[in-house]
Amino acid sequence: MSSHNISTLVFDIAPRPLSAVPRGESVRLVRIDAGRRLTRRLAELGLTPGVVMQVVHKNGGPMLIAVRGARLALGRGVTDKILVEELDHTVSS
Amino acid sequence: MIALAGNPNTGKTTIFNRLTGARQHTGNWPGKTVEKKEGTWWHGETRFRIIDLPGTYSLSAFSAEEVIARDFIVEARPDVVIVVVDATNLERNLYLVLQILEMTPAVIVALNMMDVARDQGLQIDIDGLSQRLGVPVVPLTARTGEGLPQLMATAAQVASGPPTTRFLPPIRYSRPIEEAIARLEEAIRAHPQLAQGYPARWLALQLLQDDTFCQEKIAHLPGGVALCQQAREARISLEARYRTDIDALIAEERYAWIHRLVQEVIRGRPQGPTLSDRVDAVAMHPVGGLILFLAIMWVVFKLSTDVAAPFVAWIDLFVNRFLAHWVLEGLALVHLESSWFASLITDGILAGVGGVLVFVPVLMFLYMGMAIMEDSGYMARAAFVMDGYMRHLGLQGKSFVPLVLGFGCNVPAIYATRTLDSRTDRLLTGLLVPFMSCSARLPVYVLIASIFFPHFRTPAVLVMYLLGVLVALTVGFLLRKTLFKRSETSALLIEVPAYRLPTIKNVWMEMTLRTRAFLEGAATIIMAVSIVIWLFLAIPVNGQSAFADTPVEHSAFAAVAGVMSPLFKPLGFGNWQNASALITGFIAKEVVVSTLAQVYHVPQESPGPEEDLGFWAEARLAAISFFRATADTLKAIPGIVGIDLLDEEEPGAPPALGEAIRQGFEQTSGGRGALAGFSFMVFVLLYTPCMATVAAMRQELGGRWTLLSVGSQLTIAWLAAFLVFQAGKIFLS
Repeated sequence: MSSHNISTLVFDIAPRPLSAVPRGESVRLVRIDAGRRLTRRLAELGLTPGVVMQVVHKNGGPMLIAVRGARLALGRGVTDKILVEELDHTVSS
Repeated sequence: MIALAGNPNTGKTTIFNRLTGARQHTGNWPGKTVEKKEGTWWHGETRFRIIDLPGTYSLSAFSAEEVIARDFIVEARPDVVIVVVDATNLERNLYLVLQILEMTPAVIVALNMMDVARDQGLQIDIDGLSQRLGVPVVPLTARTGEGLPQLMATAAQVASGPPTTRFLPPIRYSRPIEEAIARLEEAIRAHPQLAQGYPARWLALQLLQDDTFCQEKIAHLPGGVALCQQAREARISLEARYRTDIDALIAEERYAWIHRLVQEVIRGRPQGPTLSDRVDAVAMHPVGGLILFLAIMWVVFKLSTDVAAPFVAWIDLFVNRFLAHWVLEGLALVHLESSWFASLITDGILAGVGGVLVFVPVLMFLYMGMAIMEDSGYMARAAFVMDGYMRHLGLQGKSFVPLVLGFGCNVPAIYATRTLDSRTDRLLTGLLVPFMSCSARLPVYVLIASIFFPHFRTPAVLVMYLLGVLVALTVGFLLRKTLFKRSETSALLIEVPAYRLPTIKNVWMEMTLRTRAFLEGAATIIMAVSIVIWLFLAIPVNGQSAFADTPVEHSAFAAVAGVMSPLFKPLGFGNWQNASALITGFIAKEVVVSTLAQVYHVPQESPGPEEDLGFWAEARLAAISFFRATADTLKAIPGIVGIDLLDEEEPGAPPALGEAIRQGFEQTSGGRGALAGFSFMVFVLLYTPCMATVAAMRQELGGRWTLLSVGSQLTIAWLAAFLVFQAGKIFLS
């Protein structure tokens, strides 16, 4: 079961996977479409709905993101499951 | 008892090393292959045990490490838990602090890396932080030791203070969650065994999130089943209400709490890319990063092979010539120099000692390289750079490191699997390492190839290396599809720490501690096997020779080899001589060539008439040769970048030995000597590397997996050699 945050329903632009975000861009996490374990693990590393993160490096598959003051290296298997939105489309809820 | 907890890369180990110095030892946690580090620390007259818990990001049972750390804190109940926190990465690090604060009130937060924080212009309100968390916060810089005395004074104070029984963790969750916790707490308090076993609030929270924990630890206690049921119902109703996983929700609320706290206590966030980020622009670049990584691997590989080689040669010389010589002299004083006892000491025990000690320089240099990579923070970058490639093999990026090291020596490569993040990755990589053709196998290829393929020696040897990699790829693929089918491919998910300069103390501690662990763990096995082989060589079976004075062909060893030789018939090299060489090759591949020389009855190159120089003269020579080895090591360092200051001679096969082996192989293969030779090379490549590797595997992977590994190596080697010989017979006829 994954989380369905209300905020995703408000905007017409569908959230995209983190893996599609180009280097240097900052985005906001909408939800994680993964199993219970991975969702929890990511949440405990600070990847919770609403958090802002920046793509620092991209190396074909894996990505380096800056989140909550830390740098996380995430493989493709993870970045595909993290759904994000533009920073502009926010703060109305 | 004091426990050290903390995220990886927070300087936890540096603090541990500073406190305990040499008074520490490593072992494994009971029933786990996770390392346990323990040491002692004196505060005045009081002696404290310090336990270094595995570095984890959280305590939610994602890995063996997390389970160990969690169980230790709630079950062993240390007097104080020092949570080491990276001051420059407070938000992420406080998550673990918060989790631990829900388990025990006896917590001290060690705010490490204050020097870096100051350089970055971070201002942290220590008192405010301490107040909000409800526990002491001690700022320090572990690298320099600044602040460490205050930390330990606080620790001693908390440890000797009265134990707090009821405490209130700082964080409150949203109302429905709190209500569920309160109801569960009430149920827990109704059962004394539960209430005494665990802090009630923590247990309630745990049960709400984790059903596995309930089944494993609680269900069998009185009242446990009902409690688990109650927790499950509470979880279902909460998840229905929030339409999200309860554990993710709790993590979210914890981070929200931490985020507010951090806003309050920190001023001056660093802006723009840090120095680490600028270095990473190269180190994590798809192309530049790969080149840098391969260059670093090359250096580490060279360190554990060429640079260590002179010391290896010196140890060999010291033990087998100098020590053996003087033991014999000593025994001569009591007229035992030609007894079986003397033979046991020199050929059995000393040979075993030498067999263990030669690994010491190799491992020291390897651990130096690994410790620098880990300590500087580079290892995480290596994992990042290689991840894309290794993922195709069902492995993670870091697995590349042990596999490459395997080409030098399988023993350190097996130990290097310890740096991998999950048990599955450690196992899988450890099982593949033996197929990497180590340097000790090379002389066998060179000997056989120069006998049978004198004009294609290099390609023949190269084919062996490639075949090893190919077999590893295939085995890895098959393991992923079978035994490891259900274990999640651990997706790359690691924190990348900021770069920092490795400290000499940490690197040195790492080198000595790990090498000592090898000596303690592997030495017994290697010694035992060495003595058993000696025994078999000593026992005569023809009834004429005396014990310990038997020609090889009349020994029990030859008899055993003879019994085994039919096994090698279908592979083309089934005679007792070849079987002997393969048996001793199980001990160490280094001795395959000398065994062949021995059993094919070719006198080995005699080292020249040995002069008797007297004890002191020889002792001086031993000392001089040690310095020469050191000098050679220094000379080998430029070799890392391709400048060769040592002149090496290419070892070829002595003509007489070559002829004898050729005849032997021609005979056993029905006139297809070259094919049998090739099949022999394949077998040597693929079967069990050496007993030191087996000993290392037993330490790292556990007994069952080691047995499985040895069994499958023998099977694979046999099948591959069989295929080569039989298919070759058909195609070449």
